[in-house]
Amino acid sequence: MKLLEVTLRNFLLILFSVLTVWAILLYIFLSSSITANQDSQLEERKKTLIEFLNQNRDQIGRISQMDTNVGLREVNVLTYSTMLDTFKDTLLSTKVSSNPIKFRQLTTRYRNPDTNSHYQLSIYSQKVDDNILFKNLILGVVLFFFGILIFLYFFNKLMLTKIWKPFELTLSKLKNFDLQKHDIIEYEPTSILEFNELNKAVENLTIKSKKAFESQKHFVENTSHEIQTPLAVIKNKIELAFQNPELTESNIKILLEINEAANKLSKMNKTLLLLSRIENNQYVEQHDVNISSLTRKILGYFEDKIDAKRLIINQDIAPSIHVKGNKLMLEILITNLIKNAVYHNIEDGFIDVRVINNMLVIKNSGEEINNSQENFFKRYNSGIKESSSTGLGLSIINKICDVNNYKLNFHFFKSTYLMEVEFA
Amino acid sequence: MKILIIEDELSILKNIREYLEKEDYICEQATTFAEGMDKITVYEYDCILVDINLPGGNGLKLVEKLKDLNKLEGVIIISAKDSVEDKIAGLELGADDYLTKPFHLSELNARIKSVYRRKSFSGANQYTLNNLTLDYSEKLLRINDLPIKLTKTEFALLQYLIANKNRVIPKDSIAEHLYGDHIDQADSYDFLYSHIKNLKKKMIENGSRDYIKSVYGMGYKFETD
Repeated sequence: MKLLEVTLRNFLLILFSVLTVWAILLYIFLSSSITANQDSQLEERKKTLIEFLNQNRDQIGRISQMDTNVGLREVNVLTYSTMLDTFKDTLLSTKVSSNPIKFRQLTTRYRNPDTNSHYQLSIYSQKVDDNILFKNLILGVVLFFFGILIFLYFFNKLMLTKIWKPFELTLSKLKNFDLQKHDIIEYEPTSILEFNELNKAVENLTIKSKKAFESQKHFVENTSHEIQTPLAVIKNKIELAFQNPELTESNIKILLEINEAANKLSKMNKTLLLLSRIENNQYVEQHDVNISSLTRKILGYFEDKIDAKRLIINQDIAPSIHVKGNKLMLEILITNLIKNAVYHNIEDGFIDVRVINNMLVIKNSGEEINNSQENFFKRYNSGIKESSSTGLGLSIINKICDVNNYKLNFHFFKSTYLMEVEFA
Repeated sequence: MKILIIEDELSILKNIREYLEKEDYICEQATTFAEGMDKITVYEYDCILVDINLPGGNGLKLVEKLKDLNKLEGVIIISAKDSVEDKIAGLELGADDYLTKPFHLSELNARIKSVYRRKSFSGANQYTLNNLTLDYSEKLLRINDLPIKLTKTEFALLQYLIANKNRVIPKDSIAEHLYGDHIDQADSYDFLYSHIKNLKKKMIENGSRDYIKSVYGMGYKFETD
């Protein structure tokens, strides 16, 4: 739920309950003040009535006929003496309406001094209908509530959205923030203190993460470079040791094993360095590369291996297909693709190399595997443990395609493998 | 031949000296930028090996200085940094070659010779050893003035063997020289073996001595004595 929606919802909930309580209190207040007003009117009428009765004592018996809102009942002295003026609500049926109607009743006493008879005198006044009052109040509250709702809706739309705009901007920038890219987010200053602080905090954070990322990125590269020198010493020492004519067979075996390990380490180190360089975007320079001649040239590197395996090479290379990209990266990519096709091939197998439009398609025979696509990848990835292959070739292919937005497709069916690179 | 090695890593420096002195080269050394600068301005060398990362400065500056001084030495940059930018910068500044650590001493030796051959004016295009003559411009071998046709690989192989004559040249060194990083080592040894076999056969059939000896497990040796 959006922040604006949450605040709005809570606000409306509170507003609604406050309005309800307010309406109830108002209702109580209004009806009591109306009653009080009615009571004082009744009091006035009582005075007028008593004055009238005092002057027209002979008309006492007819008073109810003269004024329907007045009732008269004769009571004994005892009742009379205990009677006080009382107000109360009462229901009365009238001739006009079949339903009983609410009345306010003032009961008082009257004594006719002429006849010494005692009376209970009731004066009635029709009450304001509570239901109507209540309904009107509820209607008022609901209308007010919806009024506020509509107001807030537009207020939110126009004002709050505008106020929150710097926040939205920061958020969208953060969402698109990519450590791989070299830019640091820049913020436009706003007049709102909190947003400025947020922006500053976010900026600091991104700068720090960027720094951490950069140093981590270069860590691999630097380490690889540092490893080169001791490796060079080891390899050179072995070569110098080889010159010693007094070496025994067991000495030679030890030296050869050291040499093999050093070579493997050297190769791995070079590959790691290459991967980290690709990741560090060190091959960004763009060239116009003729991939047709490049592919032919690279195929040449593998002549010996191709001959040894008696592979049949079918070239379908369109003349001078040009692709935009980094020359070195393209060379590494195509080399690894062809190397892969050559090395994972079988004796007397085949390799079809096609270069058309902006695509390089390499189809080759290989050992049949019944496994799924995932295992197919694993086979190459697990190569790190095997003999002299570092098994990082596929990682390099993937990484280069990834960095350059080339589309890489793998397919295999039984013993035929297809790798397809669609250049951007 | 007089060689200056500018390298701060003492063990590497020692290894290079040990290998090159057997070639009867006179080796001098400098371990800092300042020392290197002193030596290149004062003395003359036939070849200078220079590391890029030196205490006190960048080795590329030394290459620049040599160019300013108009000294015609062969310059080979040795760097731990396998960086294309550095390579291009170095070559543009006038360096003749660029070698990335770790390298084989035999590879370095071959590069020094080829740089020296290209730089010196006399007999630049051929090399003669007993009755063998390597013709670099035509990429062919003459035995007793009889031209022998060699494949590209065979020629490169022979050139490499002769450059490191009378030494045990590790198999991986030769394989790397011929194939670069493109081929896995285990395979390259087999190819190497068949190339050596063919080369030996061609040479012996055409009246050459059997110069190329296989050295148990380690590699090959081009024996002239």
